[in-house]
Order: sequence, then C-alpha cells, then structure tokens
Amino acid sequence: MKEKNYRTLRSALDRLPDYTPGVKAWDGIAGRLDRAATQSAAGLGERLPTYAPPPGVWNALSQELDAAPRARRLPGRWMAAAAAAAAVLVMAGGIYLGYDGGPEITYAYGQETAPAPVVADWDDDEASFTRARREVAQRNEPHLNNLGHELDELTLAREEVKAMLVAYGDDPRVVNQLADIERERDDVYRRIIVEL
Amino acid sequence: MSEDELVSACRRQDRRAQKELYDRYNRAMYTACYRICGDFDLANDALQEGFLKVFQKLHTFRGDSTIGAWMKVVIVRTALNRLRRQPSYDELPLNHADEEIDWGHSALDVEYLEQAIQRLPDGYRAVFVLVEVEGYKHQEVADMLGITAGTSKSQLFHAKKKLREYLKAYV
Repeated sequence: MKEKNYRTLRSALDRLPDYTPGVKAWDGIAGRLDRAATQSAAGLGERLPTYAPPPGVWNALSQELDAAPRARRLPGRWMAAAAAAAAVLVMAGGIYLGYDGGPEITYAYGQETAPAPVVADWDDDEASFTRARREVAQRNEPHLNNLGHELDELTLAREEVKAMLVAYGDDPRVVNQLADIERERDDVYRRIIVEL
Repeated sequence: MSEDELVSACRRQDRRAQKELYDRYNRAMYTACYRICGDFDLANDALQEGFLKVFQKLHTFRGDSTIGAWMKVVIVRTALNRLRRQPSYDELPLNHADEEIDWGHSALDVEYLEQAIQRLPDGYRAVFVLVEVEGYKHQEVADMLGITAGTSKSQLFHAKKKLREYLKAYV
C-alpha cells in the first residue's frame, strides 16, 4: 500500500477537536464509588460473593437418598398388636414343642467403599476459571480475548491483594478490595461463559 | 499535588484526589471514548465505567508508564467493550501493494474528517483511532483488541481507503 500526501491527513488529525463530558459524568462516578463504599461497610459475609453449587451436587445427593433403604414406619397400635401376637405364639410354641435352642443364625456382611465423587466441588471454582481461560485462548476470538485479558488482570490483582493480606494482616480496606476484585472476576467469568 | 501524590491519595480512596485526577484527564479520555464508540451517550457510559475501573484497579498500577497512559488503556478497553455490536477484526487480504491512497494537497476539513471517522464501521474506526489519533503501535492495538499486528495493519489500510472515499464524497 502506498500513501501519498500523508501530511495532509496528519495535519487534519492534529486539528481534531477535544470534547468535554457533561457535568453529570462525575456525579455518576462519585455515586457509584459511594455505593461501592457503602457495600464495603457491610459485614464481610454480605460483601463476599455467593456461589451456586453445580447442579450435579443435588443430582448426586438425590441419587444417594433414593438408594438408601427406607425404614417402614408402622403405626404404633399395629406394632403393639403384632408384638403381642408374636409373644403369644412363641410361648404357645415353646410349651408345645418343649425347649429348643432354635436354628443357628449367622450374619454375613460386606464392606463397600464409597465411589469417588462424580460432581464438581465448590473448591473447583478456580479450576473452572482456568478451563474457561484455556477455552478462550483456543477460540482466539477478539471479544473473548479482551475478556480473557481482563480476567488475567483481575487474577493478577487478586494475587497481589492476597499477598498484601498476608504481609499486612486483615486490613478492612484490603479485604474490601479483594471482595471487589472477586466480584469483578465473577462478572467477567460469567460474561465469558455466556460468550462461549 | 504531584501525580505520584495524587495516585497515592486516590489509592486511599480520597474522594477529592479522585475528583482531581478525573478533572485532569476527563477531556482526553472522553474524546478517546467518543472517537472509539462513535456516540456521545455510549462514550459517557464508557467514561464512567472506565474511571470506576481506574479507581478500583489503581493498586495494580506499577508505575511502568505514566498514570495517564495507564488510565487510557483501561478506559479505551472499556470503550471497546461498550461498542454495541462487537466488530469483527477479520484479517483481510493485504495484497494491495499497488494500491495508493492519496490524501491530496488541499487541507482536509476537520469537521468532515470527524464525520467521516464516525461513519467508519466499528472495527475499522477502532483501529484507525487507536493508531492514527491515539498513537498506539500496531502491536499495542493487537494486544488491546486480541488480534494480530497483521490484522491491525490490514484493518487500518481498509479504514483509510474507506475514509478517503467518504472524504471525496464530501468535497
């Protein structure tokens, strides 16, 4: 490609005007900073993000519940009557047949090992972030790459803030920052999942 | 207050320092947002969201560049994400070695040029503005947009070609 008289374009570009945002722009930013600060003042439990467990957790739990033997509950009155009838029969039988030690009863049992969990654990969140990041890199699409960069930056920031927490103790402001970063990471992660 | 002092105060969530930083840079940032988004409302949203990110991420600023340059990258990225339709930055064939763009000798009307830039498709406009107006290198643009430097170059070429067409129509 050849470009002639580029100076003409350059000179015009250098004369392009600047624009000033409306006065309300700062009010919007200050309002959002205030809201963020108010949220930060809430208890740590309220500020930290919450996570929904993977659906597999309930499915596995449900299967476990179905597999467990159900104890049949008989109404109390029937149980008492059955017990009384059984006692009468045993006594009558004993008298009629004389004493008998009864059959030898043996019990057999086996020990089963619990199967390895097949559902994702809450602690696997970080792994799912990594998986999503890997998939973003594989897809190599501009918008996804942008989100991937954001995720990387936030992950880096999170590690730095964590290091600060270790170095300086649980400073509430640093804890707030960590919570903010986690929220942002979650948001970016959700956007990536939607795009994927 | 020096920039270092200002940044330190902003990190302590000092609201007056945050306003001072905003006052120093809002014009440059808003102009960049407008040129990328091509729409004042969208630019306004991008500016607000961008500055919010700046204040929230300020602890990650290591001082490798000026605070203004660092802020601009954060805000420009926000503006790019704000584009309503995510443009595609497909690498177009750049076998136009014989093609020539001639900007002519007569001065270009700045108002027409601004309008022509805004008429460019989102992807072309973003690359054109980042390279020619904001002064980023192709590799920097590539990193920002998640494309290759080659794609950035070909997008710029096509942007300029279109821009020239538009400007001819104005004359």
